[in-house]
Amino acid sequence: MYGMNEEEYKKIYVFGADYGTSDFKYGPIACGEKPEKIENRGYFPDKSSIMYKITGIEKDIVVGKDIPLYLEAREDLSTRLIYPMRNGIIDKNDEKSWRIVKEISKYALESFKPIEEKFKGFYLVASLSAIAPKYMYEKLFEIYDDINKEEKLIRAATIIPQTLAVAISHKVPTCVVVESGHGNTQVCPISRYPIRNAILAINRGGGDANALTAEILKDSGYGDLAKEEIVVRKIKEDLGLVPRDLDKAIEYAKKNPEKFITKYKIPGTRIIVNLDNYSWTRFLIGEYVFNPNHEIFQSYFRRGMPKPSDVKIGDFYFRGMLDFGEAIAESIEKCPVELQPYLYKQILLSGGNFNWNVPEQLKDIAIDSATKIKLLLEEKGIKDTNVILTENPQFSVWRGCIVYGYAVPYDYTWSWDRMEGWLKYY
Amino acid sequence: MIFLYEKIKDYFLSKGWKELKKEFKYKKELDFIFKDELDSIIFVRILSKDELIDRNSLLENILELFSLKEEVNKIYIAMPKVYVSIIDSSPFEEYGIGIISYDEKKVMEISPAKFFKTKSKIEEEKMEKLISFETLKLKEELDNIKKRLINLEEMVQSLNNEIKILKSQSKPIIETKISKEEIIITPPSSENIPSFLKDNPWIEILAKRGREEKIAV
Repeated sequence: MYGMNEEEYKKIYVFGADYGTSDFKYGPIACGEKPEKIENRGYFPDKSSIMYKITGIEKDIVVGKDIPLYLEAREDLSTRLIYPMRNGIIDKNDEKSWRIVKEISKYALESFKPIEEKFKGFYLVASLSAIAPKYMYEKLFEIYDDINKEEKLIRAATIIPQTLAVAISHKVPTCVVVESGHGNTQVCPISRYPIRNAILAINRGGGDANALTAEILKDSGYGDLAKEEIVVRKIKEDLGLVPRDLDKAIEYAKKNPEKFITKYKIPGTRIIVNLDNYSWTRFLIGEYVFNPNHEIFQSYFRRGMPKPSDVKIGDFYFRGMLDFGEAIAESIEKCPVELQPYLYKQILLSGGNFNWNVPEQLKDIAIDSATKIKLLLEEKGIKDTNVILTENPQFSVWRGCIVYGYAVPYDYTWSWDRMEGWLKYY
Repeated sequence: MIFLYEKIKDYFLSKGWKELKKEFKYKKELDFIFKDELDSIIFVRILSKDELIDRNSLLENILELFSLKEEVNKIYIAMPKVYVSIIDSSPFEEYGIGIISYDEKKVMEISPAKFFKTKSKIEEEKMEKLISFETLKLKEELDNIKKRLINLEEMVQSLNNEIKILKSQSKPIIETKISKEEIIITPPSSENIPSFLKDNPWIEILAKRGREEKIAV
């Protein structure tokens, strides 16, 4: 069944699938530099609605680019429109989310199924969060088996952590990948393999920065806007700043308000947000992501803003208030001592939560994420570091999947001890 | 006695009523049952002298007859004319029982019987009322549904018009699937290999997966 040609076959039909928190990136090696992308979500239409009946389409779940055509009342969205991987983990018994995962996987594979006769299924490399528990791997392999029962689309499959995929796509065999998304942040040292015992998880991500931004909007008189998640996220992304030193930045901003006051127009609307005398709070947004321990944040916690807490999710214990510098240091210190200097020299920052603006006129006060991490490590006495913000972070994981599938031999079979290898379906 | 019995019977038959052979709970041998032109059931009992004189017996008869009010529409008792002025007729009136007097010469109605609705009639009327009420409710609901249907038809028509306008204005904006005819996957050559594969040290590292263990063994 397999022979020399199998290795060549695999190289042609390797397929990457990155199950991100917001987007699902997918495609075979033939996609080139960039994968296809759809939102990692599914919609369960109301079968009793008149619109469902009028369209005459019998679908239990809608995924992909067609979703906007099916959306109904806004008040239904929270129950019908589901984002399964919001925090990187799906509960074992969350049937709806697993059904969505199956549908988007099938959608992706069917959209690229070739017509040539020699096609016998893809070599699929899927990627999950580094903190995904073992049952998620089991469920995903089961889903692929189910898909094959309907149509043979997957010849073999494997699953790799997203942090490993990032390291692979950046051509760095020894590094620490810090992946920060909407719900949490993971620090993952890698030395040809993920060093699983050293993975550290933080219960803090872009969503927490959104919460602080909402509080700032309320204080500035924009209480209504503060309730709209998409608006809050846009304002965070466009107005948030990361300070070199928070106290100095606040002092400077209060003395020079004209440099920080910005009238921000929400795209597609007539709404203009002007923080005015609260413009100095722009620095709080960025600082909070990297280090929530400054005393200035206590007033927000006292007023009811959720404080990132320590929590156990799946197999991992998530720390809430750990600053990123301390998290990286603690993670690296769990690795062999000889390896540690090499790890400090290659710290890769990945994920949307590391994209911060640095306006040219403020570059002495506001900095980028890589500089901030470096400074946090220096405060802890760790000086000889090299921190890199990944290029094209939205494609990194998919690219890593393609490289992995291309290179790993077809006869390297899956092992639940190593959590690596190909699971063959036929 | 037989003569008087027949005379009383003839009196009712002369009204155009018909005698019924029907059994009731307290029907005695000499009781009559008639049906009039309106299909009402009339029950007639002939009371003897002894039954009239004895108050207990009289009351017992009255109560017995009154218990028939759910099965018959009218109840009469027939008594000798001579007793009509002697007997206290108030219990009969109270219970709606009519009085017929008779002698050798004549049979006549002294006081009319009250009309009773039979149990089945009462239930029939209740059912009619219920049906009427339910019918009214259904009618209201039907009117409501008709209005909603008209609104929905208008909405669908409006949506159809919008779709027509959109179709005429623009080309399709959503193409969700690449047609199968276009998908032919070619292996990456050195010319078209993606940048992230070129000069990537991980290729060599990953190619040894599984081989390192075999070498170690």
